[in-house]
Amino acid sequence: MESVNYWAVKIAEATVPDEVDLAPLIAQAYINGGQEKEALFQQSKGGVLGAFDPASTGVSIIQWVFHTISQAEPVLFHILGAASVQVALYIHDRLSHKHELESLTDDTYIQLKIFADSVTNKLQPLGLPAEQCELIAYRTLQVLLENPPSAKVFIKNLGDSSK
Amino acid sequence: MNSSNTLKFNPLIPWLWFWLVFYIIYTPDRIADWINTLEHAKHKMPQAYNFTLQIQPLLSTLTNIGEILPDIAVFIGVLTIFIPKLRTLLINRELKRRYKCTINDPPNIPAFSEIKEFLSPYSKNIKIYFTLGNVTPFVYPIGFRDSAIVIPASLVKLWRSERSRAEAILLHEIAHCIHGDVIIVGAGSLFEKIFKYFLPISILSFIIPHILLTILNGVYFYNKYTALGVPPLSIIYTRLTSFITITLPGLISLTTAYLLWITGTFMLPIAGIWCSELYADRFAMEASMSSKGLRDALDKQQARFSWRHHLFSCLSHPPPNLRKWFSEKYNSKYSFPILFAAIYPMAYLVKLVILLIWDIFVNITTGKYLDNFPGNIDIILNSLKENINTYFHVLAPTYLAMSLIFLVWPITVRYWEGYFSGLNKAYNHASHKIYISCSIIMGTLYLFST
Repeated sequence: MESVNYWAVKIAEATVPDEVDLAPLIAQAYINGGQEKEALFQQSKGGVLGAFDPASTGVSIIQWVFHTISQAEPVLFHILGAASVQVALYIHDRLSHKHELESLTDDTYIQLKIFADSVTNKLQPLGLPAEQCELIAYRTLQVLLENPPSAKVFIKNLGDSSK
Repeated sequence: MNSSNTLKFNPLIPWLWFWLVFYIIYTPDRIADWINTLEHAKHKMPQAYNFTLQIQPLLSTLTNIGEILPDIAVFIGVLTIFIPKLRTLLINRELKRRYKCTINDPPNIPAFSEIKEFLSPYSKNIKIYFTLGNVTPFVYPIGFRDSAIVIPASLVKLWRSERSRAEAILLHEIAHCIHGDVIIVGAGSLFEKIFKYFLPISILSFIIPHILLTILNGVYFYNKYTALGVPPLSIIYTRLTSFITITLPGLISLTTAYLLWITGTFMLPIAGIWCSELYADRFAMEASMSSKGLRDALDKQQARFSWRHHLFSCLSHPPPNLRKWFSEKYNSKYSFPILFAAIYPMAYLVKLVILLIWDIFVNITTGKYLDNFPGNIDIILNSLKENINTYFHVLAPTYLAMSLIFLVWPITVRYWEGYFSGLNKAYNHASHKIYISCSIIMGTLYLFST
């Protein structure tokens, strides 16, 4: 069974490649919970310690991806365990055909849309365009679908930190 | 990456330290002034009414305390410079309280190893730390010589996505360590914090006694004239008219004068702080041989959240537009001499102008300049001329010191920066001519002032 670090790196490589170095650290901090986890999401408007404000250095977003995965545990478990996993694979192999996706009405697609919307809701306030947020969502799913049983363990680890 | 051993840096005078040394030298005189001010406060009548109230001497004293509070604020800030370990405690506390994070040892990840390798040519005496918190990179002292730089996760990401911007930001921060600024300014600096907290306290401690006195005067006259049988409405009307036409303009004028006084008090340390920030920007450009990274970082700076935030930010950093302007002049042959020669010495002239305007406001408020105006214009002009002469005369030792420092700095800079950085940098000796010219100018000013 792959480790937390493995999944953190895989997800970062697919979604935010610039944060690959940090992904294992951030994932572990998220799973550890408590103040370590809180620090990942703390925003302080106006408080600047150095000569440049946060807009100059940018913000890391991989923790928000992990957070969305953890919050969407039931949805993801449904997708990963879907009897119609072939449909899911069909969809994720054709990510560029958005109009085709939107024409599907089955339950699996609805779950996909819920997950994509939750990622967009979390990442768009950080300044990412909606299209990029959707891309991150679907690439995350692509990675998780490579090994659903192991992915479920990773998702559960993230989810347990919220409890 | 360019090694500091192959580059030649322009030696820039640490004006902030220059200000600090002179501030410490004049501290005994300063304390004597405060004692004198407080002693005379009890006898000073802020308003020309011939009555006595037990509370009035107290309010007069409070007003005078308000006048010296800005200076006391700077003094306390200077005292905290001598307790660098306190900064470490304060930084850790602020990180926990505001950002919910801690400072950690560097993680064993490739990006961080690259960052450490990038910084290593610029300093041996700097500890490098890491934090997962959403902060910007910052430096703080861990002793009188050694300092630390904290690199957040966001910068590690930036290192991968926009290398030149990340390098510029890192070089700016490391420059403060090399130049010896960190012990005075930087994250957790009480020196800067005190400016921020004392500003509203000073204003309130000055204004509130004046407002209270106005109210007490009103109550006094109301009681006095009602006892004499004057209709209450008539008294209220008279007092209100007096308030609007005399008292309120006087309060506005006094408050404006007070704000000018505060500006004059903070002018020089803030000029020193701005110099240290602009020099750090300059170092970042020289070390990377390009202004692109720094300009990109400054372009991304957000518009300040409010005018209040903008004002307090200016206490610790030059406005972003000014930094951008200097970065655009990177290749200009005038930006270098302007940077090190003009800003700090010019601050003395700006301070003179502010104090002259303050003096005019005070004399208008007390009525001194308004008596027989414009017939007394010669007296006013002579008074201003005398103030200017006195100011330059008092500054004579400062001009002499500036002249000497321009002369010796190209030689001594390597020892100064070597002490803080542990490295031996190469310096651009072509700038010697500019230094000698500035030394002559300051020497001339000294002779003119004595």
